[in-house]
Amino acid sequence: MAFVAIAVSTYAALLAVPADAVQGNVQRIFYFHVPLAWVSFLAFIGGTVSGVLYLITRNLAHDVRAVAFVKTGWAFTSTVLVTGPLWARPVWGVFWNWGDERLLSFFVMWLLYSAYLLLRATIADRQKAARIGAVLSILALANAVLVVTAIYIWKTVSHPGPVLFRAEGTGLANPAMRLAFWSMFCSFMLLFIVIFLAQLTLEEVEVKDHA
Amino acid sequence: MLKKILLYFAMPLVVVLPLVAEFDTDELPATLRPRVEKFLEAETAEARSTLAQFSDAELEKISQAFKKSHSTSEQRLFWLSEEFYRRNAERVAQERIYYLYAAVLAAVAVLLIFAIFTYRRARQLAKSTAPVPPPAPPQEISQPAKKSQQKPQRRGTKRR
Repeated sequence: MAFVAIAVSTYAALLAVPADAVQGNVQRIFYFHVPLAWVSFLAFIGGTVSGVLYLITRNLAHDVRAVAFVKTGWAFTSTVLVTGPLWARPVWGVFWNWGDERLLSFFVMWLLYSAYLLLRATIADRQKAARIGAVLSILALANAVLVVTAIYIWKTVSHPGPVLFRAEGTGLANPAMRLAFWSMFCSFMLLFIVIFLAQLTLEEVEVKDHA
Repeated sequence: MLKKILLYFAMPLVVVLPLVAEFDTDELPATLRPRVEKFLEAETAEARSTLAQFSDAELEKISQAFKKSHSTSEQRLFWLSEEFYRRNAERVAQERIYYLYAAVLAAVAVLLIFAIFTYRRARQLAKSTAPVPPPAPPQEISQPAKKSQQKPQRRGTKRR
């Protein structure tokens, strides 16, 4: 069902929706890049909430949920890091701009979550790994907040202001474009839920095996 | 005689002068004229920023009027200029399509690889944690039990 939804949304984004007046067809990457980023942010919020719940209750079930959230969110973040440079190259002329604070903070966020997964894989003691992981996920979410607010704090040159919620006459004015965007977001959300549930089951089985 | 000589020299001028003159905006429709005049007089940066404000139909009218005010050889040069921009635009459009499809394929590939890894791990775990069937109880070779021992007890009967 998730793959069918993604296929339909991809058709809408690539063929049904009109091309952008300034960037042309390459702007259609937006319909993949931004929803994937949003889904990964939601995953990391879920991961941090579960981590905090673990710190409060010391219940490993919360930690298992946190790991599943972060693992799936990490995959979606990696996708954002792949689609972003492929959009930047034809529009900015370069694959990556180290001077853009949003890009930099996003990359740091990806590194933090990579470190989270590496730590989890290397620490044998489950309780200790859960404790360190929960603290790290709180730090990583603080960085994620920085990613979202970077365009307001530094007025980044490469990244424009908010595209969906901005002053009238700018952004996605065309209703078909908005529909394609939300359709893609819902499809990726559906895919996220499917993969997350599979990861959650796996983590639960592994915890039972170790016990 | 003098009049004839003057007329003889004046006639070619009548033909040539409009061709060498600067672009005359009077050729354009009245609605378009003030915008084009403003565009021509604007600073370079401002003029560039207002390019997108002209519609396709308006651009066609302006370029046709401009071409008409020039000689055939100059029009040929416009063709070359147009061909250069057309090729450039085509190249940029092709490059952008290429990056668009590369990005979409990359996104799908990353998610697919992650989903496949999840599925493989699930299968491995399912195999390793599959419940082992309990060993069959050793079959004792014994004499068949008496029928009376196998009879189910009737309801209400008490065992002593």
